[in-house]
Amino acid sequence: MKVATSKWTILIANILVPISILVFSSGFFPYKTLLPGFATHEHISNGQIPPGVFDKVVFMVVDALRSDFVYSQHSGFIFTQSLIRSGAALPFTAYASAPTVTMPRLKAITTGSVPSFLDVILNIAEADTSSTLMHQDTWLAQLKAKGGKLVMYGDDTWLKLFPGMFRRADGTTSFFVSDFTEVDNNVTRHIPNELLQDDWSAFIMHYLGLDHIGHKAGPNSPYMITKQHEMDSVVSMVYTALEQEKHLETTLFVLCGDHGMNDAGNHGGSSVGETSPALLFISPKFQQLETRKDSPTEEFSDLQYYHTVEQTDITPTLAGLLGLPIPLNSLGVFIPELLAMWDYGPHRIHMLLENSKQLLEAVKGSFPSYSFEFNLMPAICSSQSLTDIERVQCAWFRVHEILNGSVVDYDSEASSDIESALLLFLRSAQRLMSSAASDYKLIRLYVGLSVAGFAISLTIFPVKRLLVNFTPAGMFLGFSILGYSTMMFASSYVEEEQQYWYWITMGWVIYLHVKYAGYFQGNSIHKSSPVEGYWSSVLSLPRFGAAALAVSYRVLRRWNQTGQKFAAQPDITGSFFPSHQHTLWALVILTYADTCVHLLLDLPASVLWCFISCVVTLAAFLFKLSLTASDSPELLGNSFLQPVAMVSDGMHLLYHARIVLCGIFLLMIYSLYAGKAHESTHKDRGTPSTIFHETLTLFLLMQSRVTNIPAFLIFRVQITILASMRLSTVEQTITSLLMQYVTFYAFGGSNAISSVDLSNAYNGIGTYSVVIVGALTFISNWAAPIWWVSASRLLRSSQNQEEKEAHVTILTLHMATMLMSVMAACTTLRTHLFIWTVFSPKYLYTMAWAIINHIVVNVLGEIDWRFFMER
Amino acid sequence: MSSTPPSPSLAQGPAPPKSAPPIHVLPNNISKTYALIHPVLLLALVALRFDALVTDPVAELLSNLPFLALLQVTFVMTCLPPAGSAKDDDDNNKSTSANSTSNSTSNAGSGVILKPGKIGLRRKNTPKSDSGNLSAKLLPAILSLTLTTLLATPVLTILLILFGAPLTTHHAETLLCAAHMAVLTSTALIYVHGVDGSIWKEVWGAKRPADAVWGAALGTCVGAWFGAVPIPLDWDRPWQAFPITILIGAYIGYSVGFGLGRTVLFGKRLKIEEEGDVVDSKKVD
Repeated sequence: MKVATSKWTILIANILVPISILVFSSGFFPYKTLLPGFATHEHISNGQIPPGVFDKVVFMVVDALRSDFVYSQHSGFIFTQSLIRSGAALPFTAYASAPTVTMPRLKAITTGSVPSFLDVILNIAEADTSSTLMHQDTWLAQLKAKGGKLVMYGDDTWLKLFPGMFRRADGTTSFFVSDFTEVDNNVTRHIPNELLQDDWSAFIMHYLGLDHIGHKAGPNSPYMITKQHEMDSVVSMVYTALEQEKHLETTLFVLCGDHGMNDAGNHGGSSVGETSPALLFISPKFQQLETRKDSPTEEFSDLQYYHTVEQTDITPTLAGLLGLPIPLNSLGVFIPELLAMWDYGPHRIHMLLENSKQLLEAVKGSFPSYSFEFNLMPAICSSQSLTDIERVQCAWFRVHEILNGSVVDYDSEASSDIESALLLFLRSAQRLMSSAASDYKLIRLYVGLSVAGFAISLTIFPVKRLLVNFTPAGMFLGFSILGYSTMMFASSYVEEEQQYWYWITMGWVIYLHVKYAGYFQGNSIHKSSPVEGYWSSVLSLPRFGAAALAVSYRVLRRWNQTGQKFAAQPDITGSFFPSHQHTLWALVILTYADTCVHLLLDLPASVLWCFISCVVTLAAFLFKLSLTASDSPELLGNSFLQPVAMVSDGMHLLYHARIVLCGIFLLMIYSLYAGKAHESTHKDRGTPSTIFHETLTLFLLMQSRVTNIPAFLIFRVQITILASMRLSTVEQTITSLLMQYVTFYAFGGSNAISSVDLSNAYNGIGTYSVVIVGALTFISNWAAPIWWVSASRLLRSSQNQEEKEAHVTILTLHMATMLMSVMAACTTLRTHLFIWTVFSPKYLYTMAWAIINHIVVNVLGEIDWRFFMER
Repeated sequence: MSSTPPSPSLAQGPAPPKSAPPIHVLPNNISKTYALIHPVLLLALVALRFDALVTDPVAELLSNLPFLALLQVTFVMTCLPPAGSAKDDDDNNKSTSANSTSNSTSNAGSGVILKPGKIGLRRKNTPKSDSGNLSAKLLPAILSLTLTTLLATPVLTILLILFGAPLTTHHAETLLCAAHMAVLTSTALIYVHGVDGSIWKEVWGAKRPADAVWGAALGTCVGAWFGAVPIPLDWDRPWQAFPITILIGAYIGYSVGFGLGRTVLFGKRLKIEEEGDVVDSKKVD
């Protein structure tokens, strides 16, 4: 196989990849047109402004408070449920649209607008301050403009969104996911004091503990119910104060979740669990409405308890109840149940009318070409098929008609007519505005696409011979790339991408089987070539190697269920290990021992080396043990390691992690220094191994979830089998590629933002730093692909320069094609319903695959750094 | 096993080991006609029972299995030479004595293992018994069906699970799906090849030259592989449940492989050489 290529082609193609990503991203991630300025009451004739029912608000956000956490029979919110029964609390399910992560949701709650997808990235790159809501119209800004003071305790996202807005504040960072108690105690300790103060108009609390429990242990963990009881006691404390304190008599208490969580305890996507947080308006005053509801209610599988409203509805409702103008960019609809707070009919109508006029302005802002003047009542309204904007127009004309027709006497019948017409308009306008296509800069999308296309064309010519001549491996590669590219246009295949890799990899195993098993059988007479050393013991491996590979893939496939459709089904990490803790820990110990033995074998001569590597391995294992003991103790349970964990628990996790990292770093340095001389003598052992690879393994073990650690044993078996097969260059590359993707998904990765695993992103870090946390997050999510890049590099250690270049060229071609197909899918499907929930996250993942996994890990990893060091 | 990793030089070197030639459909009119009808019949069976299959896969697969077996037995008896007689039909012009020796030498294995004492098999070796003797064909047919049930079904079950069929649930579905695939693939293979070890090694290594029998068997497996493709789609149709698409794929694959194996690809082998040597498939004869 000759891949005629040059360093320059590879270099240029790999520079083009990030350029195309940059250009495409700048056109793809849109910004919404926002109306500048702040709303005022001016445009309403004064007499009819509905007076505020409340003048203060206690706004309590419980992160990831899914509706069933409050409303179901298994809830810990006993007191809150008694409030619902008494009518003092009005319960709702608030639909939170994707992206269901905290910052965009807070924007939705405070501004009433639907946030752009860009906010997800900004949510992760938390340090960013460009996305503040300082200059946007929010109910907080309105309160402040009215002269109110605001206080805030809890998630410091609020402080970043509203710098300088709060009189008193104490922020807690939301990124130390393993902390269940401190984050919340830090909020609760301020409550008694604040409830005694009468200077604030808004008292905001944001509890993070429940979300952290979800991320760490899932919605069914034993911690969850305890945490719910704790939150319930906070509700009880506040409600008691509302009843008893004179200055809190006209205070509204809002309890809500910013988003929900899925069955794995994660969020970010658009599954029903993630989009269904609870929302309660609580005040002793509501009892007079006599809207008593049953509570707890029976379980709903779709989590839509009581009446479902939009999360953005919170904004106009709050504004209305507090007597504030509705923020300009709000897309919310005043929640009709709460209209009953005004006994006087015209107040209710004016509330809705004000809401309608505000929303109409927002609609006009986005659709300047449509007229809402009454004089041209169009005939289209009678037609059956209306576009969304036409439906809004017609609803508005209908409102106009009724308003003009009825004299302003607002008798009960006319007023209910007007109310329903207004609500119809509000709902249709809300639907229109929430789904309004964002502004794409199409030119940039096409430029990004063509740059990616150019990168493909650069790399495809060298590989052309391979593909055009129909070598089976080349055909397989072509088939795989084509299949993948086609798949990117179907949302379910994007969600279930792992299925594709499992499927195509089994095809590859059959290829290897046909090639190698058959080969040996056919040529068994011609076994004259030298049989050296180790090979005699693994001679049977190629024969049954493919079968063994197939079995190992089958195990990996069930290691973690991922994707959307089958995510909740039982798997090894989620169902088997928690109930077989001894097996888990025996395997984990075996993995560490195996790594240690490899370390020792790589440099057997030195006693010092043996000692150091044993100590570092032991320390790394103990770190994992105590991390598990503190994060997910249910995995430790009553296993035999419980006593060990108790002992090692004495050391602070932070320092423990740093010690292990230092140890691993030392080993790496030493391996670079001393390993060079030894490496050549160990070529012929079965499993390829160098000190660098082994220390890297140790590091990757540290960054992997404990349940994923035993999978590294399977990788060892696989790499041994693959080594015995002596694959050709193209086959090596294909195997490396397939293994990277298969293991990424087998470790629980997917194309959903919610599957990003943050549990190991803070190992050894004391303060938040975007770069380090980002790097650790990448490493812990891509641990298995990184291992395979390193391992397959060892497999290919005998390759010459030309073959290495061929390897990189094929990798680059593969990456560029993937990138281009994802970009093409995002471009053509930019008006698709799932663009923000499926395709954009996929694009983000592809960015990580392309820029970090491909360029940094694969391509830069290919460069022989020792070559530079010798210079 | 004592063999060495292949070096590229070996690739071109030795001639491939002597293997049985591809199988022709019997050269009489009834056989040729039925060989055309048979795949259509199978597809019709699936199409006809599709709704029932979706409603209750297990019951339907179970009740269809006898029909499928019957169709396959009819097919092999009508259209294919039973094990050991393949050579007769292949080299028709050779003398009968040469024919019998060739049977007793190169194909001895099959004769011996397939119950050598049986009169039916002995008689089958007599020349020109092509379509007449029913029992000479019924016995191998039933034997092959038995072996299919006993050996091929478990093997295919394991393969299905390796390819991702559920391990802890859907046991009946997996087993029945494997049984259907086994009847599709193995009945004819065993009928024409017996249990000749070297041929089965070729089958295991996917190295058989293409003919109707091998093409259909390979087609069934490849079809089943492609049958898995629609499962992850979020259409939430009842037919996306586990064994259905795979089975449909298998049946379609069977028909396609059957047709291609008889005609376009006849005699070609799936061959994966060292890279550079551009040999996808090559003529054997």
